Amino acid sequence: MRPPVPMHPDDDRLLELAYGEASTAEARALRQHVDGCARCRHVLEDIAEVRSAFRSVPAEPAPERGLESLLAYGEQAAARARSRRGGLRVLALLSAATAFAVVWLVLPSPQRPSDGLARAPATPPTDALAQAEVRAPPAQGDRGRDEVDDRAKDSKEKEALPEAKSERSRNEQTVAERRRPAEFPKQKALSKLDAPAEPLKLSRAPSDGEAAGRAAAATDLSGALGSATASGGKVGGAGTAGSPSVAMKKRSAGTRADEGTTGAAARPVSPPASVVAQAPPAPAGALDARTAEVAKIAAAPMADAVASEDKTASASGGAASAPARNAAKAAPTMQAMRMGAGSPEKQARLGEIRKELETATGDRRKALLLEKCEIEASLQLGPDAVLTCSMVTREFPGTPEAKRAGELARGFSVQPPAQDER
Amino acid sequence: MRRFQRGDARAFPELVRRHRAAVFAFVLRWTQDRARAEDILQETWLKVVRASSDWSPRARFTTWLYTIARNACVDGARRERARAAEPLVTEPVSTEAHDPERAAAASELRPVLEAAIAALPDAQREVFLLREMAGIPFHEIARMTGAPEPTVKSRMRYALEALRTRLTAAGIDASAGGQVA
Repeated sequence: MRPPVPMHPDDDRLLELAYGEASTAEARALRQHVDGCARCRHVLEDIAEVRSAFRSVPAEPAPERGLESLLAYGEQAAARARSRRGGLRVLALLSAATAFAVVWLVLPSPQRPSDGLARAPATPPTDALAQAEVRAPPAQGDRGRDEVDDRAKDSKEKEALPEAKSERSRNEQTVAERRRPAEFPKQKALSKLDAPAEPLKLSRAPSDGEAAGRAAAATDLSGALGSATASGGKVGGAGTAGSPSVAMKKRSAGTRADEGTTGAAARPVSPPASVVAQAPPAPAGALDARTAEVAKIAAAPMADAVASEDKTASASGGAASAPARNAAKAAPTMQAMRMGAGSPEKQARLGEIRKELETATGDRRKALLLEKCEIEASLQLGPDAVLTCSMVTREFPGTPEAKRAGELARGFSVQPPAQDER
Repeated sequence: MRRFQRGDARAFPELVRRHRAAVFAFVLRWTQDRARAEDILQETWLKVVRASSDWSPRARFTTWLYTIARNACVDGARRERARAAEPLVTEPVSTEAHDPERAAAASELRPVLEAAIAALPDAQREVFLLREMAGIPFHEIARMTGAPEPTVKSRMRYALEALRTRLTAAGIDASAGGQVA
C-alpha cells in the first residue's frame, strides 16, 4: 500500500479512486485529501461527468441475427464435450476391466476346476499336441476385443505368470497343482468359448486371425505339456508352462525335432536351458498312475500323426510352419478371445464327470469319457478333448463310442490311436 | 463456463444471455459500424465456443471474453485498413430507447458521444471501452494489451479528457449525474 501523499496525489491514483480500484485504506486517505483540495476534486468531477454521460446513453441491443445458429453451435460443442468426457470414462473403465481380467487370469485360483486328464504325468510330445490345438480354428468376430486385451495381457502375463508359478511351485506338492497357474486360466478361458470346432487342414495357409488363434492354442498346449513333461521327471516344466514365449520356443524346437523321427512320445521335448534351471523338481510320487498311463498312451499315436504331417508340411516348403511362426507373435490373442465366452453349464458338467470318472468303470466310464470328450470339443478345449477321446479309443476299442471319439479327435486334425494299432 | 466445459448444454445460452448485449455494445463502440460489429460479435462467440476447453477458472470469464472480443476488433480494424481503397460506409447507430425522456436525451447525446469515442486514438479508445464498458481493471487491461499499467492509465486519462472536451464543446452538460465511483 502506498502511503497517503500530503500534497496532490498522482492523477493515476485519482483515476483508481474514480474507478474503485484503490485499496480501502488508500481510498480513505485520498478522499480525505480530495475533500480539502479543489484541484483534485475537480479532476474527479471531470471523470465522473464523462462516465455519467457515457452511461446515460443506453447500450445498443444485441442483434438477433446469428443468435440461433450460435446457440446451436454451442449445444453441439457441449454435446461433444459430454461425449469426450464419457469416452474418457469408458476408456478408464475398460482399462480397469482389462487390468482386472489380466490379474484374474494370471493369479492362481484354487477354486478353478481341475482336469484329471490334464494332470497326466506322461511325457507327451509337445509339438504333437500343440499342432493338434493349432489346427483348431479361432473363434470369429472377436478380433477387436483381442487387440484391446492382448496388449495388456501379453505384457502382464509375461511379467506376472512366472511369479505366480514360482510361488505355487514352492507351496504345492503335486505336479498337477504346480501346473495350475499356467494351465487352468487358459483352460477356463478356453472353456468360455462356444465357437464351433471346424478343423483346418494343416497345409492350408491360415489367415492372420487364424494364425493368432493357432499360436494361442499352441501356447496353451505347450504350457500344459511343459508341466506334463516335467512330471515325468525329465525336465522341470511347471515353471515354464505359462510363458507364451517359452512355450512357443519349445514348440518350434519340437517341430524341428519331430521331423524324421518315429514319434515324439519316445523323447520328450526339452525346454530351453534357462527354463530347466527355473523349474522345480517334480515329485514323482504324487502322480495318478492311471491317468498318467492313459495320457501317455494317448499322446504317442497323436504325436506320430502330427510328426508325419509335419514332415509333409516341411516337404512342401514349410508352408504350415511359417504361419505358425507368424502366429507366435500374436499368441495371446486367442486366449483373450476365449475369455468371456463359454458355458457355465458345460463347465459344471465337466466337473461332475471328472468326479464320477474317479470311480466309474465299464460302460459307465465309457459313456462318461465320451461325454467329456464331446463337451471339451465343443468348448474348444483342444488338448483335453484329444486326450479324452484317445482314452475312449484306447480303453474301449471297436465300440461306437470309440468311433465317435475318433471323429471328434479328428475334428482337431489329429488322429487318435486307431483301435487296431495297439 | 465450467458447466459449459463439462458439457452442460444449458450453460452456453446462459452465458450468451448474460454477456452478449454488453459485448455487442463494446464492439459497436469500438467499430462504430453496426454490420461489422455484428460480424465481430458472432466471431467472438464462436471463438468462445471453440476455445472453451482452453479457459481456466483462474481467469475471470469476462476478462477472457473481452480479450477475445478485443482481439477480434483489432483484427477487424486491420482488415479494414487493408481495404483502404474502399470508402468506409458506416451505418449510423440507431437510437433505440424505451424511456421517452431518456430516449430524447440519448438522441441528443448519442451522436456526440459516438463521434467523440470514434475520434479517440485507437489505443485510448481501446482502454476506455475495456474499462468503461467491460469493467476490466487497469492491470488486466495492461495484460490484455501488452502495455504497462501506467501507460494504460495515462491512455485512460487522455481518453476521458478528450471525451469531456468534446462533450463540453457540444454543449452537453453531464455533470448533474456525475458521481465519484
